[in-house]
Amino acid sequence: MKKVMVIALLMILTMGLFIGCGEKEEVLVMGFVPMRDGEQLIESVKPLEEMISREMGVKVEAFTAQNYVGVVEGLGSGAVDFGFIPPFAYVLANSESGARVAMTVLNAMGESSYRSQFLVGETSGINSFEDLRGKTLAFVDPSSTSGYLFPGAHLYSQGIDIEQDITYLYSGGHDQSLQLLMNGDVDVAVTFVDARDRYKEDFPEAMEKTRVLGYTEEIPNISVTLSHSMNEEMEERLTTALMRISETEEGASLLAELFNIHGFVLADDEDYEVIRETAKRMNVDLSDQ
Amino acid sequence: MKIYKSSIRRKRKRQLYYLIPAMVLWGFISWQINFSLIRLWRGIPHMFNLIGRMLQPDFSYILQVLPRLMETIEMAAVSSTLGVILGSLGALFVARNTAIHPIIPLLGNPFFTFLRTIPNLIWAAILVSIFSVGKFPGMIALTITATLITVKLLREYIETIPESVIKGVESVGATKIQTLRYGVLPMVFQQMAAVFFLVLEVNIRGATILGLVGAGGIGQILWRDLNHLRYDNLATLIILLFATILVIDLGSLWLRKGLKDLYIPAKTIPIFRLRQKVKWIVVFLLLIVGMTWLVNSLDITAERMILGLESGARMVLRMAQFEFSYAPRLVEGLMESLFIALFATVTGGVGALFLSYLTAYNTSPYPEVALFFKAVVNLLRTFPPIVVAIIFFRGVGPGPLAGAMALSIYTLGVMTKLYSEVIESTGENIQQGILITGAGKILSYRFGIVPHTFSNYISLLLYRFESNMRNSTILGVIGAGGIGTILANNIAWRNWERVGLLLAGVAILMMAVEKLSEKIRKKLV
Repeated sequence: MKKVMVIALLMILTMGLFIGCGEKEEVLVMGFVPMRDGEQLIESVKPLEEMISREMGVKVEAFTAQNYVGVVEGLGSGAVDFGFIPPFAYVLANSESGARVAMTVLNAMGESSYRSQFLVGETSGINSFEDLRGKTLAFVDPSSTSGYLFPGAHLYSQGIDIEQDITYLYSGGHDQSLQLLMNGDVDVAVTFVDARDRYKEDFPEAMEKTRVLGYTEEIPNISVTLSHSMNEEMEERLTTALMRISETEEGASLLAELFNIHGFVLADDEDYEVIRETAKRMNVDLSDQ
Repeated sequence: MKIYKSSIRRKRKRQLYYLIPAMVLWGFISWQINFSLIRLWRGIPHMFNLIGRMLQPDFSYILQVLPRLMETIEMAAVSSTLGVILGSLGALFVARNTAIHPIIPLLGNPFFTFLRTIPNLIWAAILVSIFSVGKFPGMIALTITATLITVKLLREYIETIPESVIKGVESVGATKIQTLRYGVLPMVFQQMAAVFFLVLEVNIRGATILGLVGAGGIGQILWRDLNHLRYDNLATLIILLFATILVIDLGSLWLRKGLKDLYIPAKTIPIFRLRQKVKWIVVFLLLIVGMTWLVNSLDITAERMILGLESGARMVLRMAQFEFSYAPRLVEGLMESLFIALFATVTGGVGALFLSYLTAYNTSPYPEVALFFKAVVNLLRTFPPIVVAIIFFRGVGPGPLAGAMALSIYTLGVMTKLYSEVIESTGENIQQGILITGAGKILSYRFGIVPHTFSNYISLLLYRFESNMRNSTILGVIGAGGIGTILANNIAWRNWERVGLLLAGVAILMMAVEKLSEKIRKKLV
């Protein structure tokens, strides 16, 4: 029995080594966290993985995650080398582990930012932010940049204290905010521009029955964030590779079709200062203990 | 002597025959989930960094979240009560020996099994899509789970009721209903209390994760703190939940003991009759109080409910139109979930075999050691697998490995708790029989207790495997691989045709797994 145990143990150990050895060659791990307010569901990042691998000459392993927490933690420990992550996640990763932003993604309009909208019922009689006092509002969820942080900060800037002047709830999704508004559960719903179009199959009457009360400030798009452990030379190679991909015809159309990426622009921390300020105004404690 | 030696040799050889394929299989599974000791080893410092941050709980935070905890307890209590009542009725309907017509169990059981395969997080996610965020969808999701668990447990119990009891009541001329009322129900009642507390614990745990999809309660705060990387607050919440579950555990133990001693014999027949009447009035009053409580705790209006049901019907209709072109993704996801669950079950199960030795009072070298490990095991089992997965995300990056490790730890905790309880309840003679030959405690464990309880162990392990299949679906929501990731994505994007196909796939696999484990269990006994 003892011998068997020894053999078994040895086998486990060698296996661990074998599997470990496979990773000795240089591999970049990439995490992709699609924004929930994007155009389509991004499931497979294989094409992007292949494009970057080919362009950089380094093996890239990519995965997608619906939530950013795992990727932010991975960036912090170096288990993930770079990621496409939402702006709020970048700010968290930066304050937690000194992750750097390299680029911002451009959207279909060629812009590096987007906005959220406040939707009200067509016949609600709400015509200004002042009219919101005493009304009910649906945010998306407390970690959503476009569905909570920016709209909330916008309300403050319009003189509405969200804790005192209105009642609010979290809907769980932009679609659900829209649904709450359509059903009359809330007076105002916050969604990205334009959720009514994206969910027209589910809510065909949304365009006629609701109207836009106002827009938030510009929110930076999804960011390309690097782990603090990535060196400058690799950063250079990565950014040029991404730039080149977006400039070739084949690469550009693939990026646009599959990932809703219409180009890249170099970015630095200052571009995301607006997120940090907004978060502070919304009482989200970003300081790392 | 010679015969003895060759017999020993043969036995060893046989063990080898089993062990080597098992090891190869384990190797294959490990490879499938990208297992790597080096990666784990390298990740350890990072993981400790995260655990270190969790070790600074902020107790003033408890007061802030107390109302939400009460909300969670209320959700769990209401839905458990409702679920146990509905489930008991359901169980009477589908149990083979009490069913009105033999066709009902034949159709009913697969139906309930199918519903049970859908994890409650998925129920909640779907219900939130219909009824929007709040306590109500969470409560319904928990009620569904509670009902289904009760149906399963009570049905199995009812089917073991000896025929003589039922026939005995029937022989005095009782109708079917009367047989149920006077023959079966009193026996079921005793079991219901135990089932209730079990379901309550399951639901309190469940209520914490339902917050992930916005189904109210403390889980919503937990999820927010996780998303803001506030691990100090997260740790506080986990401690709070741990304490709550402990209190419920103790409370249920005390109550069940109390109920057992409650039996007071009536002196005369009129007193007995009076007491019967009073009992019915009390039950009736309790029912009214319960109903008002239920209605009060709902945060939903009737119109909202109708709207929700309408969109729910639309959704179910779309779900029924499977998008078959999506099948390759389904298979891929299911395979990954299966491998994660297998890895976690085997790793946690083997670990539990060792840890149980230290945890059970009667095998542990010192009682203090047992006490210490009991605390450790309870801690392992309290940490929601989702949080453990995040810790592993930091060490090894997101993916199936992190999910598998998180589930392994959870399985280790639960398995050790259950198996050490089995060990503690084995007869002393089994251990003594080996000890008397001069063998030590370890040998008496290895050659006495383990072989004696091995079929129990395998049976527990099979249950763990089923539960891991369900849990690996939940872990997928945060990106730990498997079918859950795809499922969560498609629910979030309202691709109901795909959700329908995915759920059907999950159900078929789960039913196959359950059938298989039932077959193996039957063979063991």
